[in-house]
Amino acid sequence: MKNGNQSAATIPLAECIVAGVGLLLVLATFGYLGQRAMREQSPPSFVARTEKIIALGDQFVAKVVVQNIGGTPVADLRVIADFGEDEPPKEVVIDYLPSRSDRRVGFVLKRMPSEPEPTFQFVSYTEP
Amino acid sequence: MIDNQTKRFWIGLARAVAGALLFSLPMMLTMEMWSIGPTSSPLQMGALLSMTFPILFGLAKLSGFEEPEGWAGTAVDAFVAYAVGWLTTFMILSVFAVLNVATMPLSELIGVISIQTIPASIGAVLAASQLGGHTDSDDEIQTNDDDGAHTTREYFRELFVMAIGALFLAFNVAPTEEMVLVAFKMTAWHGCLVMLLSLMIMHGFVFKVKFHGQKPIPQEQSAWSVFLRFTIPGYAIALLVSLFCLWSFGSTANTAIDEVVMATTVLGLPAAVGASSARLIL
Repeated sequence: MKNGNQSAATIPLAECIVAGVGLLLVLATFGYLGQRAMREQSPPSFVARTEKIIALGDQFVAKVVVQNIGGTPVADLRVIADFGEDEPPKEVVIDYLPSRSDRRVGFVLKRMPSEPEPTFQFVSYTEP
Repeated sequence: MIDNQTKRFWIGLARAVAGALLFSLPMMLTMEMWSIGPTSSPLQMGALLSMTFPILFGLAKLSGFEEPEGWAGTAVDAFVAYAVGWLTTFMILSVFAVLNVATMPLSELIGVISIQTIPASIGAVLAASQLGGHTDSDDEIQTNDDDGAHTTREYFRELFVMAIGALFLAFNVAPTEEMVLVAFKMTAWHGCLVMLLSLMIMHGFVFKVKFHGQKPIPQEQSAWSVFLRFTIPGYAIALLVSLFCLWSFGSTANTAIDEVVMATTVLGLPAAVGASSARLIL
C-alpha cells in the first residue's frame, strides 16, 4: 500500500497495534511518574541485617543486606558494623543506595563473631 | 591479481574497521565498560550477546559492507562484522594497556572484549552505508521514501532502525555512573518533563527541523496520526531499549521500581535522540 494514498482508514492493522502498545507503555510510564510526583517523598531510613556468614580461607565474611526503606536516595552511606568484643568495628561506604532498595556488602572477620547479629550504625550520607 | 569482488571486500573490511573505531572508541575509553563485562552475570551477558546477532543480521540486510547474496550472504556479513568488532576491540584495548594477555585470566579478557564488541560490530556493519558510497538499492529506497512509499514492511524497518539508534546511544551512556546520579537527583516532575522533551525531540528531529534525510509528513495524514504511529512507538522502543541496557549493565539490581522507572526515562532521552537520528541517517 502506498503512503500517498494512505488515509486514516487504511492504516495497516499491524501499525495500529504497534502504535496502541507504544501509547499504552508511554502513558503508563507518564502515569507512574505522575502518581509518584503527587506522593510525598519520605526521608531516607536505613536497616541492615546479616544474611549469612561464610568461611573464606582462615577468615569469615559476614554478608549483610543494607536497605533504604525511606523514599529518598542517598550517596556515600557510611555503615559501621560492630560484631562484638573479639572483632574491631568494621566500616563500609555504599556509593549509592536508592529509595526502597537494598545493597549487599561484605565484612571480613578474623573469627566467627560472638554476637549472632551485629550492631549497625549508619554514620553519614550525602544527598546525590 | 586481485579481482574486483575481492578488492571490494577488502575495501569494505577496511571501512568496517573504521566504522568499528568510530562507533566504539568513546565506549572503549569509558572506565565502567571495562568492568561490566567480567562482572555481569552469565544471563545478562547471554542476553546482550544473543541480541547482538539478530541486530547485526538486520543491519547487514539494510546496509552490509559487501553486497549480500541472500540469507547466507547476510549472515556472513553479520559474522564478519562481529569478527571485525572483536578484533578491533582487542587491538585498541591492548594498545591502551586495558587488556593484558599475559596477566589477565581468559574469562576476564573475554568479558571485557565481548561487551565492547557490541557497539564495535554495529559500527562495522554500518560502515558501508555511512562511510561508503551508496548503492543502487539505497537510491531506490531513497526514491521510494521521497515518493512517500510506505508499506507495513517499511514501517517495521523504521521501527528496527529506531531500535538500533536507541540502543547505540543508550549503550554509550548507560554504563556511566552519571546516569544513576542524574536519576537520583531528579524528582518525578523532572521525569515527566524529560519524557515530554524526549517526545518533542524525537518528533522534531524527524519531521520538523528540516534535517537532511528528514521524512515528509504525507499530506493525506494528520500530524497526530504520524505522531501516534511513529513517534510514540519509537519512544516506547527507546524506553524498552533503555530498560534493557540498564538491566544488562546491572543498574536495576536490588533497586526499587520507582528508581528504575526514573533511570529508564533519563536514559530514554539519549535513546530517543539516537532513535530519531537513526531514522535520518540510515
